[in-house]
Amino acid sequence: METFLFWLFATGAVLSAFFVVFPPFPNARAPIHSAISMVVCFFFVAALYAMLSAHLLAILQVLVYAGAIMVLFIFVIMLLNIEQDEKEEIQIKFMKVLGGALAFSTTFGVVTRLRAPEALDPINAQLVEALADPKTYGNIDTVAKLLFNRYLLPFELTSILLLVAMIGAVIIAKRDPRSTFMPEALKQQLYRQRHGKTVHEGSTKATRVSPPSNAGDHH
Amino acid sequence: MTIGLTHYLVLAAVLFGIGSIGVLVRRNAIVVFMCIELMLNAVNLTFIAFSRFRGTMDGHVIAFFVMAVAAAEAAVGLAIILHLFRTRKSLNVDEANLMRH
Repeated sequence: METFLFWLFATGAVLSAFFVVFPPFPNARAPIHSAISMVVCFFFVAALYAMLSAHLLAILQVLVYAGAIMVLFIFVIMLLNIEQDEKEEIQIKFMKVLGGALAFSTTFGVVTRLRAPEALDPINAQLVEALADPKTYGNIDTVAKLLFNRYLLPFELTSILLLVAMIGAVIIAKRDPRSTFMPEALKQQLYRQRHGKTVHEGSTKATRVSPPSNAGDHH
Repeated sequence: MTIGLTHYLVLAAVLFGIGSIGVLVRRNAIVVFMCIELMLNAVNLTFIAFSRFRGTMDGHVIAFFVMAVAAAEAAVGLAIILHLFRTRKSLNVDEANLMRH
């Protein structure tokens, strides 16, 4: 039964991870498809955590990853509202081929050579059960005891990290009224990248990013 | 056939490889970001598998920290993507190359 469940969850996780990178419908490369596949992948990984009797981590995976982080992703995707549907054709360049080959060969090498140490790869499940008490292993109580004793300092540092990240996100994402006008050089370069020619005088106003004072901000 | 540590490690390596290939191949900034989250997840799976088969629980705490870092990274990274889209009107990471020139 455990074997069957492992193969089920592992296949699901790998398939949905693959669909994140290469969405199954080739005409719809919108990021929202990748996001949905990502949520499915997180659920499969959470099931694998539960199989490894990391109950708290399985719940946190669903809450934090599939809940908070993916909602943030989908929120940003909806907020950006990409109309032109970004026809993203996958360009093949030499460095990309080299990098992809290196990544593939590294993964292949790891997968084919990987063996767990003998002591850590028990033949029967009894050794695993002997190592860990199934009553206490992986539940909130035990993790909390570790978290507030041995790992107290990193835990407190995590709170500072989250605070700094929150302040940083607010500052970065805040609409700066001075930056709504692009420098002329950047405007020219953007226009050249899009249309292959330079901006002529009449269209300068059209390439402005957003109105300098938009009433939408105050609502 | 019992499922051992090797199975979990190979699965995590495959997930990590898919994530890294996604970072290399896709050019949409949001999808690149999701692939990074995928790689972080694969590392978490390794931590938890090791701690399970060693009988200790330290890996759980480390995975907890990795989750916190991933959440912070998602907040800051999506703010950067938002800003990038606002100034460049594009999410293509190849076009955001002003720092290179």
